[in-house]
Amino acid sequence: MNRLKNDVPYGTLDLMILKTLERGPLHGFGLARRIEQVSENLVKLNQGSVYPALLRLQQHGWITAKWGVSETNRRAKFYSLTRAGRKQLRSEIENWERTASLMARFLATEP
Amino acid sequence: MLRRWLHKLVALFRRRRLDEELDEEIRAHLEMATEENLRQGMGPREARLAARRSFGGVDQVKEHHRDVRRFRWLDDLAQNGRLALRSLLKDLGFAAVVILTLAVAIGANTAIFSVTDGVLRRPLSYPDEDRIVTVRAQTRPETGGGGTSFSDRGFWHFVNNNRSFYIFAVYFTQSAPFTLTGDGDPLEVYAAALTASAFDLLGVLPQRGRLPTAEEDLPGATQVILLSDGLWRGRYGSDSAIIGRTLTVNGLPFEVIGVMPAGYDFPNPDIDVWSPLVLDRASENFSGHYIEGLGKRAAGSTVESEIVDAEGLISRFGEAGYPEEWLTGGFDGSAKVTPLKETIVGDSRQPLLILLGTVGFVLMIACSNVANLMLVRAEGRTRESAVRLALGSGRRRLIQQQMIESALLALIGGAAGVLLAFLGTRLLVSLAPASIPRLGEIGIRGSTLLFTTGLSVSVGLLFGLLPALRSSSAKSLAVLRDGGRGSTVGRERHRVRSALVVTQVALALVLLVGSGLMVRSFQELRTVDPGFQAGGLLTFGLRPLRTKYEGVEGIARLYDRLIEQLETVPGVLVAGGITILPLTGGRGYQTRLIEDFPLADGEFPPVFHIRRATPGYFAAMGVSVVEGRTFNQDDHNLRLGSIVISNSLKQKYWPEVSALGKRISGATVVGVVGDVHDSGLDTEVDEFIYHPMLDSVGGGVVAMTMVVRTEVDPVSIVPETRRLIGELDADLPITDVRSMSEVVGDSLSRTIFTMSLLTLAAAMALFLGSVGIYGVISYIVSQRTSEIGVRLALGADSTKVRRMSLMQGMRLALAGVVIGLLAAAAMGRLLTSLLYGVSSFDPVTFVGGSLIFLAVAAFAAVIPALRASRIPPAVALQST
Repeated sequence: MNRLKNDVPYGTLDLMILKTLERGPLHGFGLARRIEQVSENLVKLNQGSVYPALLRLQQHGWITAKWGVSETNRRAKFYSLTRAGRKQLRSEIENWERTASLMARFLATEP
Repeated sequence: MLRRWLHKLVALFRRRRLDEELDEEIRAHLEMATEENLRQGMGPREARLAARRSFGGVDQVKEHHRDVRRFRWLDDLAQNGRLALRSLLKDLGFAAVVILTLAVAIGANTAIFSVTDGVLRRPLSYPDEDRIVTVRAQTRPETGGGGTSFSDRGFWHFVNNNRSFYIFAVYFTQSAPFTLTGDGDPLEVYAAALTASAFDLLGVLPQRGRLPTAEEDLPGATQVILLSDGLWRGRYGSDSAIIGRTLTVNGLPFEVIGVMPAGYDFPNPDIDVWSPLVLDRASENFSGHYIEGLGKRAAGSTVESEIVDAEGLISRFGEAGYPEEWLTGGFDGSAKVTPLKETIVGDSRQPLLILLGTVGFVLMIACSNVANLMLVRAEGRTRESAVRLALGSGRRRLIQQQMIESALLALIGGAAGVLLAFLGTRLLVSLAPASIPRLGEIGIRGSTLLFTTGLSVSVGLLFGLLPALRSSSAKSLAVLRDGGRGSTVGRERHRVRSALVVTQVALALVLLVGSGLMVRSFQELRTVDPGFQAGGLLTFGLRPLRTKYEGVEGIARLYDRLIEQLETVPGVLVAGGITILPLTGGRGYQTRLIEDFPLADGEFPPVFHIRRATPGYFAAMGVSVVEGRTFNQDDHNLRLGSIVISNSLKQKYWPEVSALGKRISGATVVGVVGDVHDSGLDTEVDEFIYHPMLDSVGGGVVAMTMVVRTEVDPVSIVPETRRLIGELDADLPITDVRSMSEVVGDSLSRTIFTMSLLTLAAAMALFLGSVGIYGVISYIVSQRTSEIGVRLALGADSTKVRRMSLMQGMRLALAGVVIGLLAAAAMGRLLTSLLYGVSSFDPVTFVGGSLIFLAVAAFAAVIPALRASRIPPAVALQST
């Protein structure tokens, strides 16, 4: 099922980014590719859209950015989770799981 | 949220750097994506394209990024602001006029409002002051009618028997100042005497020391005084040991028991010394009325009950031992109870209210001008707005842009207005005559500024918003269709504008007439012959210490010697002295009995203005001699009991015969002199009786104002004069050194002030009104340009075209003038008390004002008309 490229709401993209960065710092391109991979290419987002999202997350203080060198010896900006970011991630996951189980129960009830 | 906000704030300052960083990031991203694609086997070109495609729109990302980064509304505002600024700069004339108008409206209004407000509405500084009233017994009109003060017996009668006053007290303002000596140059200070109960009534405690006690009101108690804050600081250097110190006042020792707080100004701001008022309970004095009554209302009683109570008491003054003649001949049985505030500011209220009305008018004119201008502008953009709406611009955005323009104008105009308000207030206070009370307390109040700024700015915004709303409505699309001609929106607006202009003209005319009346009045005043020669005359006041000289004879000798010395000064022609100088507001009258006209039963003795004069006075003042002679040395040295009377007195009692030799209260008339305007140039001359320095019944003179006639500039002899006086008596203070011309000018100062302000307002109104007319005609012409073009092309006479436009303007002006004249006639009464020699319906002023306005209006209407007739027909036809 191919969802439209612009279909990913901000909230979801933010959460995906936070989760993806849990394992370690990534640069913008790497982050976008990882998200595509993890969702097994079911989600095709415009890769560029991570950048505004990254800025927003920075504004909230959940990630920080630092210029570094990529695997291919290129100068790139790397983003990593902050402690507040990890906390935020945990609470967001909780929220999702609660919502998901609620919906599951609701949808499972017989009319 | 705060964190985000801060982040955005910081981002404001690092805009370019952040843009560059993003660029670099995106570049890196694309290159890395391309590399990966290459690795996957795509060709170089394909790899690049694919990378680009999966990235998405670069510009969109950048803009999105920027959106997240900044305060959106701020950027929008900045952008709109810039647009607004640009469009205003294109129409600089319009912008300048609106800003100027707003600035004047706010500035002038606030300044004058502050002055009025400061004097009229600021509360006095006494606790429960709205319960404090002054009480006077109303006298019969023949004796002056202002109500009279109490006598000792009257006071006690009141105190013992009143019901509605919680405290009843009296006070007395010393008409002559006290002289303080020691601790520096001799200084004259004004003093008031209050009973202990008066101090209690006012309820203000001294900042140091204490108030007098009731015992100190009794005769024989130690003499004590309280000082004002100003005196304590100025003369005694805020000495903390001032309490208990003994000062020499009028040569006598007084102990200082307290210092009143700063700003305490009962009964008037000039008072620097207060002392207890000593009243003897056993006093037989019921005829000398000199003490003012002061009452504080008991909680629960009203002004009406006070009046009834007071009247009842006064009518029973007989019980207090008043003789019948006083009761029937003098009092008319009613009481005058006035709240304290009115007593103090009463005099200035009316002219200030006129000023307030004036400024209100100017404000209205200015605001309607602003409104008009805004409407014009909106009118001119109807098409532009319609086009933009049709092209899909959001309605809200359009309104927002126009609003920002109005807001920008309002803001700048408002700021300019506030600045003008501060400067204007400072200017007004410095120019105002000192007679306006409590001038020093005046400053701009925040609430005043807020009110005027709020009002003017709201008008600007309102008239910016309304047309904006209108022009962006669906109707405006119709504008596009019929090419901008005859839309109903336009016609309605035209009616509003015409109405505004007519109102402006009416208001401006009222102001013009008002100021014209004042100017004429002033001119009349200046032609009044004061009865003396004001030029080349120096005046100054002297008050010798009674204790230093052996009685009044010693003082008379002092004056003699002084005058002798003065006349030796080069440039001095003749010198003299008088107890009260004309036009200085001094009052000195007493009753006299004229031998030839004995009093009938129950008749009240006539009152005359009494003065004492040295021999040289009349010559120095340049008063004409009608009959007989003026004084010589013998008159006072030998106490001959001679008097000189004024012509009006002679004409009243002895119109056919000579007045010489007639006897008045034991004195003999030796001369008749010309009338002198004493209370004011605009009032009737009074009847004067002049006594020499010493008279036959033992009376004499203490304080005098010297008049010195000089050939040279009067001020130039001042230093020499001071030296002479210092030699004669080192303890003699010299006060009020002024040339007589200054004295005359000062007496006119209130008239001049009112007149200047009205004229200024009228000038502003005239200017604004003509701008209004110009605007309307311009607009009409511009609307009709195509029509005019057609007419001209068809061979119409250009003069005819001009006349048409002119007529339209004149019609508006005429309507305004008629309404204005009616309004001016109705309001003329307000000015009556300020006018002299000019009726408030003075035809010359009314007609003149109308003509001036019509002329100005014609001029304002002709200019656009001229321009219209010069437009080449081809251009006119094109501009649809």
